[in-house]
Amino acid sequence: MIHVENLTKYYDDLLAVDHINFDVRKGEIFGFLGPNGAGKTTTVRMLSCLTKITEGEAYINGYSVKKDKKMVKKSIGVVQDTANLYGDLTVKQNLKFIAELYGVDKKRVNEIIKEFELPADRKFEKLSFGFKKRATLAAAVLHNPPVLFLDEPTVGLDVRSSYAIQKLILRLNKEGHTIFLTTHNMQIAEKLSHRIAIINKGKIVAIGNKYQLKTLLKKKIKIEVEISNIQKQITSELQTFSPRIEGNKVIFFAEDVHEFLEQFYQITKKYNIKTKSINTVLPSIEDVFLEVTK
Amino acid sequence: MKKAYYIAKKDFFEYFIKPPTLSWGITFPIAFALSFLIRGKDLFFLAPGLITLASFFGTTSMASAAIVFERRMKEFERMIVAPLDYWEIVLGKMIGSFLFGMLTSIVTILFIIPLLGMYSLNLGTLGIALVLSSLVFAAFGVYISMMINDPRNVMVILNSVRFPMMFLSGVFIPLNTYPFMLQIIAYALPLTYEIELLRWVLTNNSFLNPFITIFGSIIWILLFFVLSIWALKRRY
Ligand SMILES: Nc1ncnc2c1ncn2[C@@H]1O[C@H](COP(=O)(O)OP(=O)(O)OP(=O)(O)O)[C@@H](O)[C@H]1O
Ligand SMILES: [Mg+2]
Repeated sequence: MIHVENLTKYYDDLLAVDHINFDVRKGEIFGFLGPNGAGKTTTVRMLSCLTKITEGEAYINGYSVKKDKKMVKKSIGVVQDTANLYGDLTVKQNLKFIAELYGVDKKRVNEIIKEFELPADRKFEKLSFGFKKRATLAAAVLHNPPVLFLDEPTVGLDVRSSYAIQKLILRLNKEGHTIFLTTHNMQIAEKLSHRIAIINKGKIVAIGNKYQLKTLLKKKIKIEVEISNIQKQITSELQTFSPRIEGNKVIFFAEDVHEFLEQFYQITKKYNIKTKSINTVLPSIEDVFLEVTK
Repeated sequence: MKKAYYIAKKDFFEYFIKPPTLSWGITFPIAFALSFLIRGKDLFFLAPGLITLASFFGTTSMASAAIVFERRMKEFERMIVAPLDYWEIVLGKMIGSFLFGMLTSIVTILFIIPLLGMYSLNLGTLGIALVLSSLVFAAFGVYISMMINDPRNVMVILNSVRFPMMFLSGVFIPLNTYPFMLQIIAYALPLTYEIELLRWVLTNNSFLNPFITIFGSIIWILLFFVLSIWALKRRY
């Protein structure tokens, strides 16, 4: 549904997206995960004809983004990273205007207002943040596009609104929309996406479903220990196990549990550290993310 | 074509009663015109310029509200992402500004005509002059608004274009008393043509021949229309 070849973007001298390649299959939710400034928004903007492609090619629904802009635009719905409906117009006026731009029957406006449970007669700027996101999502699907681009659709939302948006995304996917979803939230990427690409500094550093991504970890065993007091020595002397402090726990990664336990025991003895608990847990996408975006 | 109309309609409802459009578009020109008319002796000379300035400020303010502010909030990108042609976007934005320009010039005329006792006007030629000049300014305003890179500077940039034009286009001093170099500049400014056209309609005593001003207006409209499409294409 989306085919991207060597897609590259320079803003003057700044290389924002660096020769990326990927395919998004029909019916899929494709998570595009990356830290701030990685190039997620720039990628979405290139694919939705909002900024010029410096180099490379992209095809959406079979149409070239460079040459066949109008057909591409008909095939996509875009939720940008800002709530960009018209503030002074009501939700209904906004949706009507968008229906006019896309040549969609006005009846569909009322349908979608119901479907998304939107307050039709409130001005857009008066809506809560969560409803603004809902309304922009409704505006993006008004013309029933096969492909949806959602740029950080849940960022800044409280748990309940975020959950509601996630449910909507899953429903839209079930109804047949292929979804390209950018986020820097691993849980959401992991929960919603069929496949995930991780982008860092403009480059795709990992791609695949969550099981495939986890096989990318060199040290596949994740160990969580709780100790009496966290001291520098424990992280510095056990550097080979990629230690990371999270709250009152220290996380290690090992290829071999036995090897880890031996060294860990020596260090705790040497510095007189007491171990309260020790567990092995399954690595998460977050662990993969932290490793590949180092 | 229809989509251009939808854009204009939306802008009309959204911006016609917004404070910046109102103050720069109506209050300012009217106050300005009145203050001159009350003091000025040469009412017949000043009237065409003041009415044209009202339309000039009105359309360009409207264009900047409907384009620059929308670009800042990324609402403008809704139209880029939709399957529209660039000329439809430019035309839509132009029509919205044009309507506002018509409104401001008509309002100003209703103020000024009774003061001057000009009751035997040819409404046909007056209409043509107002339509042409509002279209020129609308196209000009759209082009400037497309070119501005940083939306925060919009008023500064707009006024740094508007005020010099105002003083160089023969509003306050007759064109034929300008030094030669300034006359050349005046004839390179769209505002001059529109003031001269209206001067011909109102007083039948213009420096430029009406055929030149009408033909010139059409050229300005086409030029800024094409330049705006080009500016839009360059950006997206
Ligand atoms: N219009 C622009 N002009 C110049 N540089 C830009 C522009 N937009 C983005 N950049 C730069 O390009 C890089 C990628 O930015 P981008 O917005 O695509 O990242 P992102 O992954 O969406 O980040 P975030 O999570 O913060 O939204 C950044 O270094 C950013 O500063
Ligand atoms: Mg972003």
